[in-house]
Amino acid sequence: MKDEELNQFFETIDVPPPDSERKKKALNMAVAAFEAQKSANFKNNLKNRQGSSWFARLISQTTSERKDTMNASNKKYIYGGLATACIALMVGANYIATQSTRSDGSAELSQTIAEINAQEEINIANAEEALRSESYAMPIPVAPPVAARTEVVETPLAEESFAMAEAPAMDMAAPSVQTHASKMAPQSLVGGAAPMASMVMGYDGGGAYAPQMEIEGRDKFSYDEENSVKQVKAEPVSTFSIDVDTASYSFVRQSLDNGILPQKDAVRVEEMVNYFDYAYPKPESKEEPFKANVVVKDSPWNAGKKLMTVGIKSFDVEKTSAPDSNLVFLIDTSGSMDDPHKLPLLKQSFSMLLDTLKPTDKVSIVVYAGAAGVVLQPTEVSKKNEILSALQNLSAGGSTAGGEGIRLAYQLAQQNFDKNAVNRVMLATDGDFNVGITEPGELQGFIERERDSGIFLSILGFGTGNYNDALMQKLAQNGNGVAAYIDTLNEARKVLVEEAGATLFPIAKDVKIQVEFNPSAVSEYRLVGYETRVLATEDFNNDKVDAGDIGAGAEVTAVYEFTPLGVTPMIDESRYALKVETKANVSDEIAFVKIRYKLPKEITSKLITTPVTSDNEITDATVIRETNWAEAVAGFAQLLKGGKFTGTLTYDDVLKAANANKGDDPFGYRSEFINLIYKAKTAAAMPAQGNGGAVGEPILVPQPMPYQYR
Amino acid sequence: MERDEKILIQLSVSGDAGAFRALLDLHYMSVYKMAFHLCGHRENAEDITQIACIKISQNILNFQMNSKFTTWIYTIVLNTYRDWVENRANTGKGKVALDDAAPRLSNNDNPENNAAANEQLRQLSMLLEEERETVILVFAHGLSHKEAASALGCAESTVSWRVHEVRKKLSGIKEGIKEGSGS
Repeated sequence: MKDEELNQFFETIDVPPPDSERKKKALNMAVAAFEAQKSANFKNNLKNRQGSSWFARLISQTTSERKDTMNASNKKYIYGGLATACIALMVGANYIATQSTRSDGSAELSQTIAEINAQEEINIANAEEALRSESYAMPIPVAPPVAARTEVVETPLAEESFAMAEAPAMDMAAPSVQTHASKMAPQSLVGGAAPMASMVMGYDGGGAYAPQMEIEGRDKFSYDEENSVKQVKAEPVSTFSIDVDTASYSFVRQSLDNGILPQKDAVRVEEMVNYFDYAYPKPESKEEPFKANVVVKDSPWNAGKKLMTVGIKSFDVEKTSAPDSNLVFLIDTSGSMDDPHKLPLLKQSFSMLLDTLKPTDKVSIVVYAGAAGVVLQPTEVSKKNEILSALQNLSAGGSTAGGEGIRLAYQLAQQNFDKNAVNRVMLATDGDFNVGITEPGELQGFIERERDSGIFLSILGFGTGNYNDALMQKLAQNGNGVAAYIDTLNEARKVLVEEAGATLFPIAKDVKIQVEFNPSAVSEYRLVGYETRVLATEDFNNDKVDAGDIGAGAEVTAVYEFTPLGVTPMIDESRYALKVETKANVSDEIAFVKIRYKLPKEITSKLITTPVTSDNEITDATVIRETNWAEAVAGFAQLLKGGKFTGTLTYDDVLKAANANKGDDPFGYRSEFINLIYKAKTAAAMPAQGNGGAVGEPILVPQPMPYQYR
Repeated sequence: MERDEKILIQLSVSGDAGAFRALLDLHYMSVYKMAFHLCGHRENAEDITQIACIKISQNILNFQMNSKFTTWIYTIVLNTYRDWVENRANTGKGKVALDDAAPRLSNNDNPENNAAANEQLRQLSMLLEEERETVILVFAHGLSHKEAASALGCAESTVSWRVHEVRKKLSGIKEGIKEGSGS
């Protein structure tokens, strides 16, 4: 019998199709087992972290990546890694000494180091080779191709754009050491202000202990004081811009999944609340794009106080009547994107997004690493294969010229500008821009000008370790876009497929909310969250002042906690101020809510007003449930922020409220949140992640490093 | 497609449950198919597939990116099948002969349509257990002799030898059938 016959022999066996229910069950069980395994691994890590030998104690793992205890043969790599790092550093230091022109900041430095490492790779390779055992292999060889980068510079906007995408792939043949060394060196030097580089040996998940720099804890968040309690007599008006971003929630989730309480500054209450879909009543027409639901009920956080929840639901566009899109994907392919949670996830996310677009929509791709280049000229979505193959050919390497990339992306969007379409640049990155326009103010100005010409910017954040949340927020806010943080495939699906309408099609822009409290009913109030979005009272009626946008079918929720007159207020009455009798002519009103918005193509705003009376305490069961959910999330977020204003509220209270108000939860997002509460409870027993600090206890290896390059 | 798979594997190894589900979904059919080839019975094959899926989920976090994913999966299915046979022998009906794990023809949904398939399953059942495992890996699932050897836990030359043996045997059976039907 020949091989073909034997092949055929099996092909003709008629395998009965498997039962789809059984399949679903098997997959569910497997995924459950997967999760269980993950947390078991995680627990093991904790045990290991507290090891008694000096070596074990010195090592801090990037959380869940550790699976085995160390054995002697693994230690070899660590020592090897130290040696390599030292060599890389010395090489870098020499280079700096000779390059006086490159001296404007640590960012530049990291690029130069990356380049020099590529050139000096052979030296390192020799040292490395000796340290590397036969079984040790780099998991994914992706090289920062210097040659490919220059090529990109020379041929921007060239027609044969595929060549560029392929070039890095060819360079991948370069020794893996190159990646290895350049990965380590820039990171140690970027933290240029510190005299030491914290160094950690991580288990790289690829089956070998790879020496690598500690990358956790370099995520940047801006610090904003929590909104405090305001006296109605002194400050009766509160104004803020809406916020539809969800990045904070994903970041918090990732942190908790790793068993660590998130940095307090990473928690933005409004973004956590607005992560969820709410079943508020829908508005009827596109002309009046919102409906505001104001619900007043007792505060679950403080006895005697009340919560006023303002829920806004925007008009949803039918899929068929969705406007055309002219999208430019601006993709960060710098070396740091070489991580399963970054570039690969990004590729998957964008290919998912393609499925939601219409065949006539146009997509182009711009990449930036050391330099920016067009990888795909504007292409109709009907030629999906072309787009997909361009996307798949991307590979990571080099430093990050984000500013340059943004310019190029806008240029491309401008070329293809269609005034009836949604023109949008979608920036996907893991963090900061370190080459080109690096000054956030300058970048912001650029984006604002482009926004006024009709091109909007959305930002998708990927990965941890280098994430510059503050910059991303700022850019998206000024570019009339959404900043979302994508950490898993499910999150990508949520942002790009289920909420494509909200992500892509703005229904209204510059949406501002102003609430005036009635001093004859309320003594003091506090806006929960929205710290980064607070506006001055006079900004409300000023149409020149930019504010948040709202996409099709999106919901925005804001929560106020207020103290009714008669309940002991937090702020004492002034001893010296004249007692003025407040005579309110509308005494049964608690507050007056005003919403201002502009339709996407207009420049003058419209106003919606809603008086809030005690009637708002009674509404239908769905709205009550949705409101309770929003309040549970807000409570949880405030606990994560330190619980300054939440009285005796505990995680258990939140858990109870969340469980009681879960509703239908068709996509499981709310169940996931409930899991997060459990995780937070566990994590709360452990030390929190300090601001800019590292996870666990990284060992500090003194490095011969100058203090500052400025 | 292959790149997609690689991405999914990377994400799964790093702990992404969504990606892991997608990955299993992608391989469910081939796992089931292999289980069916091995045990020749739909419901048993589904049982084995389910156990194998759980085993995969318990081990994927330790998966080494430099090894081939399909080979890794087939190794798990094979071991699951072996355990399953042993388990049945121990718990169920006391001592059961090897060929009890072989096709149970009467249970097929539509015996008439499956006549040809049953014939081939019957032929398979006439092989030695290890020979059967070997040819299923090599011919039904396209593993190279080397990959099959690593899945089976034997030498590459052993795989080649078994394939050779099976060729002879199956040819013999075939001729036997021809002769039988001819006379």
